[in-house]
Amino acid sequence: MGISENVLKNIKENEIEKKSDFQFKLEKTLNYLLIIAGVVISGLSLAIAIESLLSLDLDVVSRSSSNLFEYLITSIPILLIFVSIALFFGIYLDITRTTKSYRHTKTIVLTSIFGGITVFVLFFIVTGLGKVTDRIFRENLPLYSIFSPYNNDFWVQPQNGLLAGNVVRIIDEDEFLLLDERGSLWNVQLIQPVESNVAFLRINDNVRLFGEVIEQLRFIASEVRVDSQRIIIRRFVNIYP
Amino acid sequence: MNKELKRKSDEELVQLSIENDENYLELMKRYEVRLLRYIRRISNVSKEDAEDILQEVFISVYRNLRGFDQSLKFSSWIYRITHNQTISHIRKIKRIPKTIDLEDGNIFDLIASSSEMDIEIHNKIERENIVKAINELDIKYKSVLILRLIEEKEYTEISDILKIPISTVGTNINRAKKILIENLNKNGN
Repeated sequence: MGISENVLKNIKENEIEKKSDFQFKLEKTLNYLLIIAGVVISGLSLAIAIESLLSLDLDVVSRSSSNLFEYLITSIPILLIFVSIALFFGIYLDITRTTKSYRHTKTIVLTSIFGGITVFVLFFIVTGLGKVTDRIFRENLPLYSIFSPYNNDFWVQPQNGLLAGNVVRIIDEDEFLLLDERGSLWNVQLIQPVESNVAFLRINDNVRLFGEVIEQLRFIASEVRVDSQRIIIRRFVNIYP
Repeated sequence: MNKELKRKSDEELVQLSIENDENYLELMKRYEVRLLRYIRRISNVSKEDAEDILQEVFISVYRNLRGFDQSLKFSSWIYRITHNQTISHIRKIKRIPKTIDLEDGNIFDLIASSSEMDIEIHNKIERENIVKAINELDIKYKSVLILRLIEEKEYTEISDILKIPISTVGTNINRAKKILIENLNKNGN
């Protein structure tokens, strides 16, 4: 009896079953979903990382951190970049293992994955979904918040001249109310307005202030940063009449 | 019935094997000798080990018949499974047997006489040198060389079997030839 006959006998005796169509379709579908999810998550991670790094006030971080390098390397943007890189290679391995991508050169496959991720990075940045996700994570994931360069502890240090939060009401051109990241309501006044750097502040804007506490829950801001731009706000625009 | 089956293409036989296990026998018989030789050529395992590997291959192919991608040639698919199973076996035993079975001397004549090689075998010593030179080849070069020169596969088929780009197939074949000739010169001196 030859090998073929032996194998057939073995199949019959041990009742070896063929895998079902459903199993193959399920595997294929799950695999494609995994690849798409990888590209989307990688795009999102990179979008958040890029936005965080662009809005990183290095001058402030370096003043507040004894070891800037260590601080940055363990902060969310860098960790997210590592996540993106890991996902990138995970996607590459998965694609080469499960599709006919091996027919193309590595450069073409890697460029295609990179292109796909870039599309999602742009999508998350342009739509603002990256920032929204970052905020949701910071508010709901304690671990994420700890490693965020703009976590509560870092930015709510009014005694050290740092305060951040959302504008809740604009009183007049030089005064507004701010709800800080820990939920305290502050009255903020501006000093030294600069004519050449006029900008507009709106309710719900997330701002970072530099200045000093003059009495309980009253803060004088010498500098206001909106979206990391170093701007001294001169005029406020109240969206409510 | 048997004659009818023999006229069927591999791909048609796959469909028939899904419907009836008996038809799978014909498919296995078509590949039994070729695959057994391929396993031994790339791995140098004993005849018994090669038969064990082939049995595992046939069982694996049987279990995955419904997953066969019709855009591939069946022969590419079954060679790929065989190649992977053989590599997996080599990894399991953590070594590549160093002696090629001289009974399979055909392989050396085939490689040497291939239109793509320019080697002349004049005597037993030269043949032994070729054995040594082939043995010294890395498995990735040995595989492409065997698939191209012995199994006479097209570049696209080799690409599908080894899951590497077609351009890499060409590169590896050229490198394999170069290394083989270098090894031959080294052993000849």
